[in-house]
Amino acid sequence: MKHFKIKAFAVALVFASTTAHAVGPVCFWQAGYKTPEGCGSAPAINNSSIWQTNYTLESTGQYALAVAGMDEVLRQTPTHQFALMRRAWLNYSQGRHNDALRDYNQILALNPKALDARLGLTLPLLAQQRWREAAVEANKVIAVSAWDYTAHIRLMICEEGEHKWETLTRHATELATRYPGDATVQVYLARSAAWQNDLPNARRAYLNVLQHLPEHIEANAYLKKNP
Amino acid sequence: MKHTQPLAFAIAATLICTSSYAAETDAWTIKATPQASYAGFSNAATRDSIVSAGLYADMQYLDRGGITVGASHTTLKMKLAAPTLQQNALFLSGRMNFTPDALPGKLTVRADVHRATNNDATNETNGVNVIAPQVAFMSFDKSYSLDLGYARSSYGNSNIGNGGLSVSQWTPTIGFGFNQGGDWLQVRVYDIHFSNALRAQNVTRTDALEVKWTHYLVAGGFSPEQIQVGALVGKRLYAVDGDSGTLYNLADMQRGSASLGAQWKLAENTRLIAQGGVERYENSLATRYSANYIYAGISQQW
Repeated sequence: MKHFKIKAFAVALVFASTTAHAVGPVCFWQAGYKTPEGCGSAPAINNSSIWQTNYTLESTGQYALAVAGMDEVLRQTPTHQFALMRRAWLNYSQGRHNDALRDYNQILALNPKALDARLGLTLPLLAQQRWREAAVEANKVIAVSAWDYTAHIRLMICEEGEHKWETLTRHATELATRYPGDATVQVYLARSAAWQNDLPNARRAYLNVLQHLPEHIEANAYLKKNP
Repeated sequence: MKHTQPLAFAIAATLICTSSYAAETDAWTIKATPQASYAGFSNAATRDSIVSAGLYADMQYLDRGGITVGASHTTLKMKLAAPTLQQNALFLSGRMNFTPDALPGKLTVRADVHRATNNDATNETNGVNVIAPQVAFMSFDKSYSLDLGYARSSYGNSNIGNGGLSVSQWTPTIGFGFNQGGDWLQVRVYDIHFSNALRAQNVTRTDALEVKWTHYLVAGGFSPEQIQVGALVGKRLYAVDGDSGTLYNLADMQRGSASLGAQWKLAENTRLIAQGGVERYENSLATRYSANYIYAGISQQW
């Protein structure tokens, strides 16, 4: 079964990246662009074109160049949390999961309360199927924000990865009460029931999924196989 | 072991959140498996039965690695007036997991140590020390695995003039997942070399091929969550089985085996494992016999 993937951040970045393109002289530290003329010796971090360029590079899949841009910002300001966050995400996006882990951990070393960094940390951990470590991080978010949707979804991914079906059933049932309009929770409810051979509850949950998403491939396939 | 959590948060969580999931942040997972096996020999000239019981404990730290320790006692009852052989064995295994970005899966480096002592009057099966490193790779999609194991065993010097013995074993292994993860097939080669043919039925090398097929089921009622069929062809002597942590120091030349096993889910963290099978052997007098065995173990995870 395919894992639910978190896209919200990516979508947000794509929107952001479509707002404008970099204009004016292009500096050496702006990855993907040529050279030095007309540039100062150091990037002005508050110059919005740095970030616009970075979003553009990301939206066109030029992750390595986008990372290089953040490297330059971090050379100037090693504790720049947003640049670290950007680089972590860009590293994760290009499959450099260990670099992403390093960056997210660096943010957390600077700011242990950073919930977005802790949620970010779960992404490369999930990609590496380090279910227990990702669960620990998701639980740390839940500990201070009890019904954080993203944290709960990522925790359910861990429970599925570890085949903890009873735990997943309890978790998804509780989450469905909190998020009755959410189809993803119903998918996990259905999967956990299906893995426990609980046909009525699996069917019920998949039928709920179809109310949200009538074309849902997994739900339709299950209900076709188990009419 | 649970993380220590600030009391204030624990109280607040109880009163306000009623979310039970924050508690599941244990870094360590501990699993204990008491187990026992019995084998009766048929057509064996000297052996009657073998009984073994042991306890294995596994401690896993997050996804990063773990340690397994085990101890077992084995009683090999002989026919006629031959003395019963009593053996104690210890097992220690450590593993570390790595997920380099260059590989599409998980790399595990593992090292096992075995120690077996018994009252063998010849000393030929006594004082066994084994060190067995292994490197294994499992793809993220669980479609295949590769591993290479090595085991170096040293045996006690013979009291009857047969000299010393050391054994080198290579076990290249491949595994395939199919049927959308519902089945797993593992094929392992045992390539075993002996330093002293006098102590190894006059051979310096044996080769065997082991195949295990595991089928995963949806657990429910009396239905197991997995069944496993295994077979071994070829010859195998003084083998070290890395999957089960078994040391075959008491065995004669193995000339094939077949097994059937299953695992039942008794509770979310409790499993019952049962297996039965037949192993064919040949002793130094070229007498062939078989061992019919049953095995049972219960694992409990915390």
